[in-house]
Amino acid sequence: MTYRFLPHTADIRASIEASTFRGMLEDLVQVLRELTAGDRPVQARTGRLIAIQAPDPAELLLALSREILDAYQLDGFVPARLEIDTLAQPPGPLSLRGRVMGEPFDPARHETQPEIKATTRHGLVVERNAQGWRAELLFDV
Amino acid sequence: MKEARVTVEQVDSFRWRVPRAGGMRTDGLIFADAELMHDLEGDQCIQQVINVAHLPGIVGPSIAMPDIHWGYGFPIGGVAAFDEHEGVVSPGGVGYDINCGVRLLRTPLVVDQARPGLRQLADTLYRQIPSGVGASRSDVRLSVKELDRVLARGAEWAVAEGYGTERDLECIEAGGRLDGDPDAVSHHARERGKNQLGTVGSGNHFVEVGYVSEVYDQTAAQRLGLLPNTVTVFIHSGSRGLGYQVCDDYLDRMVRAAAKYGIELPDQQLCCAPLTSPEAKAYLGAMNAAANYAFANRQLMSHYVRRSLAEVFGPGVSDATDLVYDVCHNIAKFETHQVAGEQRRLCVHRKGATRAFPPGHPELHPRFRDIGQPVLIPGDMGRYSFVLVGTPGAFTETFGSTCHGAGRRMSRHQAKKLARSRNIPRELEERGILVRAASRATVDEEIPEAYKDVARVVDVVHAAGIGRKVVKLTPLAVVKG
Repeated sequence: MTYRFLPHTADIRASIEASTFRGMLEDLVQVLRELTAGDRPVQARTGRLIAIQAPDPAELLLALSREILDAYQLDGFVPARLEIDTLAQPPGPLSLRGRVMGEPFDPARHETQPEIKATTRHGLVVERNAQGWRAELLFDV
Repeated sequence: MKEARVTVEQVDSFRWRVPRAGGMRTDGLIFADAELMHDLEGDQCIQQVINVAHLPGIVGPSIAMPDIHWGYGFPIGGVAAFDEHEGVVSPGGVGYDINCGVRLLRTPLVVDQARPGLRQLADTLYRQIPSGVGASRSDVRLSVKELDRVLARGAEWAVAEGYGTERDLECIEAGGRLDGDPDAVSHHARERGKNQLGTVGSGNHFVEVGYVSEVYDQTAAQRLGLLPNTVTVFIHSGSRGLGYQVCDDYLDRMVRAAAKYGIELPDQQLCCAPLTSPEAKAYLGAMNAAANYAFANRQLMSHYVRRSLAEVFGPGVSDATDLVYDVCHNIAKFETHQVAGEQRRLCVHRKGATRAFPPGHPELHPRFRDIGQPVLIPGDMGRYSFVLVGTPGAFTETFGSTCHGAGRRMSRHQAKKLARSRNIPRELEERGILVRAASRATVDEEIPEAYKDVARVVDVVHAAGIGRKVVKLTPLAVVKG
């Protein structure tokens, strides 16, 4: 596991470290899985198409996070994993195409979590370092 | 995030000054006693008070209430006023849950009359008012046109549709209607909101049955109908998914606007636009529309509270249940304030702070003119809440604002860890408080220990003269998301 939750008084702050940009996006989906279904397993039964373009890595993470939280709040879809078809990476313009695999929330198998209102821009960090990539995100609860 | 060395000077027992330094355009002013200040160590909220002081056109200090804690952009518990010509509006100074707020209903019951039906009332409220993530109603589905009317008319729409009385509107901040522009609300925000009207949501939102357990100000308590042992119902909720989406939509626009107008930001979540700009006007129209949605949401929940009371105690009880007051605690509003002897129109941002207008203020309905505006301060689900009234002190020192709640002191992760081996609903029931919740995780994260003692917070605002205590309410049953 390359993500962890950092202390924050009221909201939820997550840190992701991954050797590749692709790995960081995949880990973001695992953060969101935990924030929507708790620490219960989620099965990859259906897929939702993802097609995102963004000017920089931070905006790409923000957009992916928003799409997944929307799917959860509007349709009760909980994510299991990200399947990437194409990923145009920095330093050029970024784009992501693929699917978020998951299933409908099932209260018998998943654990209802407090509502995430949004992925904020507060303290949003997405950067390349010697080990690969690092991100920090704050979710408003 | 811009980090700076933080200097804090004690002014008196309840005031702390953060002197202007670096790019700050004004001082910070924190209301707290020594123990509450000690609780802030390790929290980034004082840095956030400093960051807000960097924003253009700020008038007076960047203010923090004693329930301050680390938020995003503005601190939670922050108040900042901006000049209408030179200043800015920032969606991060309002928050995602636009017009998150509280309302208090009083029933004709006293606590001993309610106790035999309390379990049934808790179950009925839980059934009548959907709670939890993405909660929606199958009985209130709004067409596009109907949603437009909600966004334009707020609680007025709800009352016109039969969800309440004309008297209710007299007891809501701004009469339950702001100058909203439905056209400024995106399709996406509307989609998120169309089935959520009349739902409480999740997190720290709740519906709570309680009773008046202590009276501090006989005259005001009597005027508000809050006599000893009166059974009350508190509702805490906001604009649900619609408001969150409005905030997100406009944060994106404000990031671009801040760059366009050359505004330097210490934190991107403080992105903003000059109040005179088209971006600001669009945001304020959308924000007011979302605020109207929240007013209507709480009005509908009141209807379902009354329906629950009728089911359990009979229609006589429901008919005699009146609204005490309804206040916003996440909002930006144009108000006129006296600054250095001059009347100025300011855009006052309150994020986790409550308006607290004094007796005689012309914006108050005549029924409150002599006592001041009621201020509702919910605490954690295991202890107590308070009703205060606004004061002249608040008007002169904090742009007519005071605290909004207990304020968290423990992270959600810590709270969950503390609650892991315990059965919180059972613990609370042993103390006479019934809990009905959509999720164990929410209850665990909201344990009473996760919050500051709201009595201490309220004592600070009372002693500092920015609010006056009227009554204390003790919980009997809580419905959580």
